Amino acid sequence: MLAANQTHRPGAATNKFCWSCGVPDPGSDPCSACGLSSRPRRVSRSELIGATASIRQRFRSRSGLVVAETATSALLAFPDASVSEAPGEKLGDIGRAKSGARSSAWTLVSASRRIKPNDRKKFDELITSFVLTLINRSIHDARAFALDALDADCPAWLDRIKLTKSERDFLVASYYAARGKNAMALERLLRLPRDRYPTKDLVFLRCMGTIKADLTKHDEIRRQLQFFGDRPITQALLSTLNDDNLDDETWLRSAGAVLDKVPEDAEVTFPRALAARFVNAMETRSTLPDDTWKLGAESRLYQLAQATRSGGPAPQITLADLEDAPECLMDDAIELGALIVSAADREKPHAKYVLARTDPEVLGHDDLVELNYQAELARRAFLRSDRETLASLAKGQISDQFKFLEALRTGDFEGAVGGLASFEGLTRDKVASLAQSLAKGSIDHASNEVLTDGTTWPVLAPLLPEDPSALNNLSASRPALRGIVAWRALSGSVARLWDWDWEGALSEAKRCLLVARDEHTRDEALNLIACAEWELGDDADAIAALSSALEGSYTEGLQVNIGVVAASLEPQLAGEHLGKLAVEAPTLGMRVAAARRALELWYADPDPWETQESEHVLPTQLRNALRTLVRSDIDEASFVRFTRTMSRWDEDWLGRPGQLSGSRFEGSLAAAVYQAKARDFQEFVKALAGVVAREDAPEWATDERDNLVGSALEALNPEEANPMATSFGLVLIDRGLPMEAEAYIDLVGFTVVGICAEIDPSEAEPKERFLDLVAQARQRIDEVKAQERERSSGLLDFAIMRVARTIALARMNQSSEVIDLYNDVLIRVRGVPSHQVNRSALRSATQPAVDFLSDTERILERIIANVSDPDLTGQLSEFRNEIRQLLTEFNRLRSS
Amino acid sequence: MDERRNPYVILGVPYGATRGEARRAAARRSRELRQRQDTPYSTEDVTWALHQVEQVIDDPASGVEVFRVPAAPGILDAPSGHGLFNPRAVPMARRSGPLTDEAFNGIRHRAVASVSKSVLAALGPHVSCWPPDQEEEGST
Repeated sequence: MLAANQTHRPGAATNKFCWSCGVPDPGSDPCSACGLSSRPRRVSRSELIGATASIRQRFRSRSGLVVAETATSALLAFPDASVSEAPGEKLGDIGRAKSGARSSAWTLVSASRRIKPNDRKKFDELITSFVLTLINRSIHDARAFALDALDADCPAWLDRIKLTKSERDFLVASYYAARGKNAMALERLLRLPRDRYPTKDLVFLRCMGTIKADLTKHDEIRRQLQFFGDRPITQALLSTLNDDNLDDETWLRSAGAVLDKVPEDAEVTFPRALAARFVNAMETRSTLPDDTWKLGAESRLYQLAQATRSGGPAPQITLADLEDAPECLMDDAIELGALIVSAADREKPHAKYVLARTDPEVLGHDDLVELNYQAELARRAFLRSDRETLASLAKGQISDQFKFLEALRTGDFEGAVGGLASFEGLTRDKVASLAQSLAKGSIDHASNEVLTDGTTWPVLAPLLPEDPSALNNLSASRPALRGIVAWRALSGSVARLWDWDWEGALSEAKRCLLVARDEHTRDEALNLIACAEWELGDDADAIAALSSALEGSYTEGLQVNIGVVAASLEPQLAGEHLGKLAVEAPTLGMRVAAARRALELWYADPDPWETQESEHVLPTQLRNALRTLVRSDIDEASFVRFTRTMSRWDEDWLGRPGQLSGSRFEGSLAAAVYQAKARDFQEFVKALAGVVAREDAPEWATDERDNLVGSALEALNPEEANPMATSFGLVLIDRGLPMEAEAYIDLVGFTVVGICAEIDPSEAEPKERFLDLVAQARQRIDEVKAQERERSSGLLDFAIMRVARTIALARMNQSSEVIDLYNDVLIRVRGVPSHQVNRSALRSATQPAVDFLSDTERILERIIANVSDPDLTGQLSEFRNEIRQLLTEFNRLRSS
Repeated sequence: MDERRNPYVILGVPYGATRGEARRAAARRSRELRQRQDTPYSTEDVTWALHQVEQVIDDPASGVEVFRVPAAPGILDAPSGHGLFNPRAVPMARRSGPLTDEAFNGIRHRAVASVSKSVLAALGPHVSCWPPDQEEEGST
C-alpha cells in the first residue's frame, strides 16, 4: 500500500492533461505522447444546419430540416425520411435552430427531436447518418458533440463518437459523478490508465461516499491515485483510505483545493465560509476567525490555546473537549473562565479538579480527600471547630494558618502570635491586631479592620468595658466600635430577658440604641425594650417602642408583636398592624391567622374603628385583606369566617357575581349561603334552609341557623308588637328552615302571637294560615323533650287562643254590618207581595253576607275544635250559634 | 393563650427554636427553678410554655399571638459575612505548567487535520467535476 507521501511523479501536481490519452502536461497540441489533439477546441457551427426550411416541389411547398450544406446548396430531410437538395436561394421559411450547443451536430440532433416524422425510427436513422458525418469531420467536432450529448444526459451517443476509449471513460465518469451516479462513475474511473488523467482525483472525491462503503475497490483506487501523490486532493484521498496522517501544509492545501472547487450555489450545511477563513488564517498564520470554535472540538482547543498565548476570545470548552488535551490547557481554560462543569458532568474525569479550582464549596469531604485538597479540608475543619482534624492535617501554609486562627478564636493569643509568619498582607495585620488585643486584654489595640470584621466580635466582645459611660466614650471616639458594642448590648439584653431580668434587659437594649446605627439592630433593640416593658406591665411604653420600630422598613415579627401588645390597650392599633400582616405576611397561613386575630379584636372592641360615626365599619386594610384571602387557598373554616363577616360588613362586594372566582370554595355551600346573605335576607334563609336540610349539614350551617332562630326568638316579645321581629320569624318559618321541634314551636307560637298583637280586629283579621301554622307546630309536640312538652303545648294553646280571639273579634265587627244589612233588607221586602220581590236581585245583594256567614261558621267550628279554654269555647260557641241563626234568617229571606 | 406569658421567654429560647432546643431548655429551666427563689414563673408555666412552643412548631400560623424575640431571625447572631473567622474557600492552585510549544503545535496540527477532514467529507461530494476543466476559452 502506497501512502500519499511515498509517491512522487514529476509534474503530477499539474491540472493539465491530454484529453485523448490522459498524459499529464502534454505540451503543445497535438499531444506529444499520442499525437492526437490534447484539448478541446471551439468548433465552427453552421447557421443553417438544424434549421427548418421549405422548398417548392411540384406546386407544393415542403418543409424539412437542413441536415447538410454546401457553399451554394442545402440538403433537407423531410418527415417522410426522404431528402432533397435545393439551392440556397430557393430555401424559404427558414427557421433558425436554437443556439446553445457547442456543435452543429448536436444542434441537428436537438432540432430533429422537434420534427414529427412519419416513421420516427427511420427518420432518426437518417438524421444519425448526417450527425455522424458531421462529428467525424474532426476530433474537435467529436469532442464538442460528446460534451453536448453528456450535457443533455445522452451518454449513449459516446459509443458512436470517434474518441479514444480513455477519453470516453473519463468524460463519462465525470458526467456520472456529477449526476450522483457514483457506482457507474467508479466503474469508468477504474478503467482509466493508472498514470493518466490527473484530475480524476476530483471525480474520485465526488464518489468518496461510495468508495468508503466498498472496501473491495480500495486497492484499485489506490493504484489509480498513487501516480499523482503530489496533488493535495490525491494525498488527502489516500490518507483517508490509508487512515494515516498528513502534514499541516498538505491538509490545508487539500482543504483549500476542495473549497475552491465547490460551486457557490452548492447546497451544503457545512460552514464553508468559516472553514475557508480558518484555512486561510492557518496558511498565513494570521488571526483566527472569532467563531473558529464552531468548527469542532479540535478547533475549539486550538482557539483556546491561541487565546492563552496571544489573547483573543477564548471559546467555552467542556470536559469532553479536553479529554485528550494536555492538562495545562485545562488549567488555562479555567483561568480564562472558559471551562464550566455542569451538574451532568460531575462524575467525569477531572470534574472534581475543575470544581476545586473554580467552586470548591460544592465538593464533598471525600472529594477533598481524593484531591488531597489540604487547604479546603483545613478551612472546613476550622469552621466547625474540629481541632482534631486540623491537627491531623499535614503541615502547610494554609493548614498552619487555620490552626493558629483556631488558637486565636479560643483566646490562645500566644499560639496565634507564634504563627504570624504563615500569614500575609491584611490578614496578617488583622491576626496581629487581634492577638495583641487579647494579650493586652483591651479593645484599644484592635484595629478598625478587625473591629468592622463581624466574625471577630464573639472574640472581642468580652474585651469591651462594662461601664456604660466608658463604653459610650469609646464608641464616640471610635466609630468602628459601634457595630460590636451594639451587638454585645443586644445579646446582653436577650440574655437578661432569658433570665427574667426585665429591668436589666431594658437597660441593655437602651444601651444598644445609643450606639447602633443600622435600622435592623435598632429595630431589634426597640423590640426588646417593648418586650421588657410589656412584661413590666407598661403596655403604653411597649406600644410606643414597637411603633417606633415599625417606622421605615420592618419585619413580620414586629407586626405580630404590636398585634400582641396593643390588643388590650389599643386594639385598633393592633388591628391596623394585623391588617397589614394579613396582606404582607410571607405565608398564607400567617396572613389568615393575622386576619382572624384582627377580626377578633375588631369584634370585641365596642368603639368603632376608622370612622367618626357611631356605627362600626370594617377597617379598610382588613376588608382588603379579606377580599384577597377568600380567593386564596385557605381552609374552609377561615373561608366561612371571612365570608360570614363580609356578608354583613362588605355585602356590596361579596354579593356581586363572580367575586369568589378563583377561590376553591367558589360554588360551595358556604359561598352560596353567604353570598345570598349579602344580597337578600330571604334568599339567604332559603339557601341556608337547603344546606341545613342535608343529612351531612356542616356545623357552620347549623350554627348559623341556631343564631338566626335565637335572634328571632329574642326579638319576639308577646307583649309588644314588633313588625320586624314577626316578619323575621315568619321568613324563617315560611322558608322552611329546619330546626328542632322545640325551637320551631316557640318560633311559631311567638310569631303568631306577635302578629295577632299587631292586628286591630276592627280593621283586619289574622289569616287562617296562622291556624295552619299552629296546627303544624302541634304535630311536632311529640318531638319535644318530655320536660318541655307541657310548656310548648301551653304556648301553642296560648297562640291558638290569641288567633281565635282575634279572628272572632274581627268577625264580630264584621257581623254587625251583616246584621245591619239583614235588617235593611227585611224592611224593604216586608209588606211587598212575594211575587213582586225581585228574588234574583235579593239573592245577589245578600250573597256576600251569606258567604261571610258560612265562612265564619266554618272558621268558628275550626277554632272551637282547637281551643281548650272552656270559657272561650263557650263564647265562641255562642257566637257561632248567633251566626248560624243569622244565616238561617238570611236563607229564609232569600227564599221566601 | 394568656396575655402576658410568653412561652419563649419562659423557656429562654429565641422564637423559631426547634422542638429539641425547646425541650432541652424546658429541662434546664426545671432544674433552675428547683434552685432559684422568687421567680416570676413556676414549673407549671414551664410545662405550659413547652406545650405552646410545640404548638407553634406544629401550626406556625398560631404564632400570630406570640410575642417574638427576636423579631428578625438571625439578628442576634454575629454577622455571617466572610471575615477572619469565616474565610472564603480558596480555589485550588494550578497543577500543571504552561503550554509548551510542542503541545501547542500538536493542538494546532489536530485542529488543521480535523477541519480539513471535515471539509473533504462535507464538501467533497459537491466539488465541480463536470464539465472537466480545460475547455478552450470561448467554448460554451
